[in-house]
Amino acid sequence: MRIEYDYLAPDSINEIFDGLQLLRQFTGEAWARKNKQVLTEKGCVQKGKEILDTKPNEAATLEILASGFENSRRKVVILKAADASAIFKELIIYYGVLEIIRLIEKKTVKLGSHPKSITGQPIQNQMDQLRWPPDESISSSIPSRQYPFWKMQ
Amino acid sequence: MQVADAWLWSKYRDDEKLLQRFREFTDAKYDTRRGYYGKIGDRTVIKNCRIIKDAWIGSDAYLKGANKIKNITINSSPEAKTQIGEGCELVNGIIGSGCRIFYGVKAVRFVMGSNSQLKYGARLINSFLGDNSTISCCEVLNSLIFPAHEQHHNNSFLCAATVLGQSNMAAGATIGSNHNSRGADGELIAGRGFWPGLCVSLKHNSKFASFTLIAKGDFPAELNIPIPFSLLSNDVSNERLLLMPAYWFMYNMYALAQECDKVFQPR
Repeated sequence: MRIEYDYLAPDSINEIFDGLQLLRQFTGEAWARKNKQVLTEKGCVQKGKEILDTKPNEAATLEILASGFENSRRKVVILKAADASAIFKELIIYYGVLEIIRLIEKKTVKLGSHPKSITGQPIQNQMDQLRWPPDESISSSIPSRQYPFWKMQ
Repeated sequence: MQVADAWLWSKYRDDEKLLQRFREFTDAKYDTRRGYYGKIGDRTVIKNCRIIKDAWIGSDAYLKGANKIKNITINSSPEAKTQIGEGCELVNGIIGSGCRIFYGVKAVRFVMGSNSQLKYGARLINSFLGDNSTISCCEVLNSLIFPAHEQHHNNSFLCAATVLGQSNMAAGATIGSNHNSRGADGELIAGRGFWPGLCVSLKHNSKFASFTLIAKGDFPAELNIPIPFSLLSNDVSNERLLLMPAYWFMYNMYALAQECDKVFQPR
């Protein structure tokens, strides 16, 4: 039996997808409430995505309220939705890349079968090539990242 | 039985056909007849124990000063020795390999996975505790707890809880504190990494996504938190509930690393 200890696994990643959708919906609803607009659920999601992705400062001015989180009449307020949205998106990409690397390491994927759209150096089945930053000597040339996910490996 | 098997048994209680098949699987594997002698494996040490009845004990186990061991299976091997210490009363249970149970533990109708610990007066009743977990000083009733659960101080599970592991229970937390009858009539389902903070009181049926961190406070109503990696806090003065998604990545990466580092260490 394999016990899953990684914080990113199918359970948490699926919840991140759902959570991202909810963040967008609640943000769109907050925008519509503030601007006295009427949007459909789909419209709220689209508007929320636009705000979270491109106007984080505007998102910070909205009172983003969640519905269905507590069985009461009081408000459930979501804080720092734009930051959370950016992190969730980055985590999804990070998890996807990790899984591709794991697949390649299992040698179930032939390097020659990669689609031509994938650019960059070929992977030689060595994790060191893929670590971020790959080497201290060149790390100074790489812009610093806000969330050092590589440390979590 | 693994914790995943227990989850299947507990999850589909209304599916009589499925449960009947589970019973058939179990009966095909194990004998239902009564009257077997107890067994004690090679190199097992038993000293100063008061009552030992209907016990199957593996090799290399060490039992010292237990009050009562009745209808118990103790798995143990040279690689993973199980130890049971003073003042323990264990009835109707299965103990995995490499477990340590000592100092006044009371456990009734329970299963413990491998390499888990019960200590300092912990009570484990009608529950399944997964592998690599520790419970001390507290009360766990009617719960299904997946591996790598840590619970070190006085707190309680008072409802039927399913906790999917890598979890922490801080001091004073009470889960299901408003159960309506004498039984565990509420239910709580929490994903991996569930972490209620100091004195968190969850009063009713609730459901949490993975890695939900709950700040100190009384939460008066049912909760359904589907966004993972969130910090949930109760803003009593403004009469609102606050949720900060992705909190772990913004402010608590250390805790996340700690949770994911709970890998098996053989003893």
